[in-house]
Amino acid sequence: MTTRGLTRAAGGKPQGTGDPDAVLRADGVSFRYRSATERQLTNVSFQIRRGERVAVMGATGAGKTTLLMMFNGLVPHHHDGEMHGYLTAVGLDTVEHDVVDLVRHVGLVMQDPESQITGRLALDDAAVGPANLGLSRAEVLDRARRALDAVGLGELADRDTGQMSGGQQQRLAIAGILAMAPEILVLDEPTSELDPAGTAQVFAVVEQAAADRDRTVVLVEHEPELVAQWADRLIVLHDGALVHDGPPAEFFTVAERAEAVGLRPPQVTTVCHALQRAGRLPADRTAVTLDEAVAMLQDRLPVTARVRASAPQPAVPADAAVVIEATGLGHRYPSGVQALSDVDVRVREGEFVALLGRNGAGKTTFARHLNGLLRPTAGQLRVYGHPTGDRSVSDLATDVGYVFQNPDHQIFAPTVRDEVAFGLRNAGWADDRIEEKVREVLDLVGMRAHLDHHPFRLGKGQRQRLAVASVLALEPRILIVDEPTTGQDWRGARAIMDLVRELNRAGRTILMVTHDMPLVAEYAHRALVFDAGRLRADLPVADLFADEDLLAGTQLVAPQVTRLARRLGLPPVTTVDAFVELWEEA
Amino acid sequence: MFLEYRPGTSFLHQMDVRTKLLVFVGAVVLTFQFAHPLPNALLAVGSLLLLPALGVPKRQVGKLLAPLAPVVVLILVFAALSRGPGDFGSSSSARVLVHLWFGDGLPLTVGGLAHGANLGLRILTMVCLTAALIVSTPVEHFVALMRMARLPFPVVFIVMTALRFVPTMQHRANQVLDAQRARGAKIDGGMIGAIRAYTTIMVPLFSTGIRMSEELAAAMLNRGYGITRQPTALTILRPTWRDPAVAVVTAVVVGVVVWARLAGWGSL
Repeated sequence: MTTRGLTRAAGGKPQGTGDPDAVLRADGVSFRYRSATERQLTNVSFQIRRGERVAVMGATGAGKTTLLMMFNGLVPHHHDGEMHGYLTAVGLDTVEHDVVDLVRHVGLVMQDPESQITGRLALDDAAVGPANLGLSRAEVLDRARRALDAVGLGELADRDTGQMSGGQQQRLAIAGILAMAPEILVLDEPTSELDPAGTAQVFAVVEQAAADRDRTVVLVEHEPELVAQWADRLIVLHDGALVHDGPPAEFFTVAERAEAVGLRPPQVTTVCHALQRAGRLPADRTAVTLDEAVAMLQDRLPVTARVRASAPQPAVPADAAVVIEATGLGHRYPSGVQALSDVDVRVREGEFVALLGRNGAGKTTFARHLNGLLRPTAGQLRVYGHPTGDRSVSDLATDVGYVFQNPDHQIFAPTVRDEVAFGLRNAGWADDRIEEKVREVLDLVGMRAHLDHHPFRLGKGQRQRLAVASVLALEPRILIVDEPTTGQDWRGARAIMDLVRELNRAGRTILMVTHDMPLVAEYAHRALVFDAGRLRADLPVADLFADEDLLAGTQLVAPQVTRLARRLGLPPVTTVDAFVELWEEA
Repeated sequence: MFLEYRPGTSFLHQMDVRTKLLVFVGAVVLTFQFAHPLPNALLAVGSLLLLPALGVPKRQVGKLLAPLAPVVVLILVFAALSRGPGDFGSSSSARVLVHLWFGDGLPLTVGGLAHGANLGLRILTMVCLTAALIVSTPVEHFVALMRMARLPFPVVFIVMTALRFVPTMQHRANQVLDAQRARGAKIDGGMIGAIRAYTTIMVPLFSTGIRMSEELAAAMLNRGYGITRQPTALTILRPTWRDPAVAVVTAVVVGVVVWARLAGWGSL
């Protein structure tokens, strides 16, 4: 059939009435974007009942966002293409009913809050939805205020939205949708760019929104620990097909299932799997949440494990050369904000340092001083013994490489080759040497085959690798990576981090800005913890995760496996491997 | 250099946007009334002083005016030289100060110089007043005004969104700039450097800009854009005692000056 220019392949209406409580129902749904050759979704069927809390997981490109956009009709009305099957939301066929009908019932919060906010002030922004519903001014403002209260922004109604933190903007985006009072709330990776505190706040808001009016919540999330803790039900997509629909535990407890679709189980589940393989746990006993794991493992605890000290972290020799030295480093932005004060730190050649802290703590400001993008307004910073203030950014680029969070902020060239060669041309290299270097660097990141491809035709993970390659081409001995895994699925994140680790092992000094604590635990040796512009702590990663007061004071959260160890009275190991090793040796 | 609204409690901040526009138009009309540069200079200085009074940092005022300097100088020179002694009725205006070319070529007259100065000062006044208007008026007030003028909502929305996203795009542009500088792009290297760097900045900026506009379109649909033709207006413009007072003063001043001008005062 055809509705307003949309095509839905011929086929009978779904058989049977289905669950009468179902608020979302998909029957054999397939979809292909007009510009695409492959289907984004293939024959997906499920029913979601009122009040359910559903998580959707899948690797990049699995079709998660497309599925979410189908719930309120953005697909196929706004993003058109060829659709098969039937999808209904609160009984409304999403092809026969337009977006304006569906958004009254289904509220969709998209990934990037910045592009969803249109109001200058928080209250104005939260009021956009109700104003579009044509309600009276008093009702619109009342709804907006209640929505801001619901997300904990009631006090910030008059705050300029541009001045809000990432977490606040995300909660504001949710408020904008809640103000429309939808029966179904749908969120696409609402916490992907947030610090642990921001993530906890957003989940608290979602929890409250679900409890309110028995609302159905569907949420795409990458963190398996959060999913296992929060969701009643997990839908897993793989290459557009539904491969799991049931309780999260059912999916995660079979180790191979998650692995096969490029997902990571919660850390406690991985611990259980490893203990099962070592014969320390019966094959039918496993856990997906921290509480379950503690309950299950505490009776089986080997006594000797309780007294072992944590394994020493690998570090560089104490006599390694100091490559970065900050003395009383401070930075005040022209706006008057003191972003960094009195930072004294020395980093030695070959270290792998994590720069940590909540959003706005000063970690990125510090990192930007290292390649001269920012200049100290107080104190001094020396890189390889020379004050950065005496060198231009282009000169420093050969010593300090900076890989930014979003590769799309730098990619401009028509081919992968030209993109990598850009820095070398800036540095005045000869053409034949450039070609040689480009090939060498692309080999290093595993992208030689894409030499003549257009960068925008590559996937996000490959674009990230390309960005790394283009920075590596200049042979910097210090590499700064800013949130390298944001927006990447587990496999993509691992691939990029393994590459960074290889570079570190080859002698490069790495500084990594991140909110991802399991990543820190697995890859970094040393942590610099920033708080309100000051360097609050400088310590080995293992010590950081052992210091509960420091973690609480800086709103950082230890990896789940560390929390498990602590709850079991074990030394605070930071990785699953270390935990299992501890157990096995006991 | 982009100027944004700066929250504040100044007299100008508390004025209704309609009154501010009236004053703006009045001031522009005034700049065309004086043949002698002194009143225009006073207007220009007054408008310029408004900016620090509204809390705009001096550095930002400098950045706003710096690109204007060559334009104003060129206008002054060309306008001054475009009028010869024969173009003026009064002998004082027709007095030649200097000939800038051999013989009697390119005479620079007192009147010509005054004419050039007037043009330059007019531009300066208008730029400063526009900046003062933007700095002291939140976007919502402009939007409310457009809606009162019954402009179609899509037009109002486009203007509102464009204004809202200018700082966001500026932020993105800075991110792109930083990413390219970090790879050794010599963007600060004068005019040639800037032109060479153009593609390296514009391509990523366009690609992220297009993606953002796509997301914004979807986000607006998510929030019910299009359900009604006229969404509920949230900002209501409320004049205070200041507004009629300022409007009357403006009307009187402009009226008196225009009358004086018509009566023949102040011509060169």
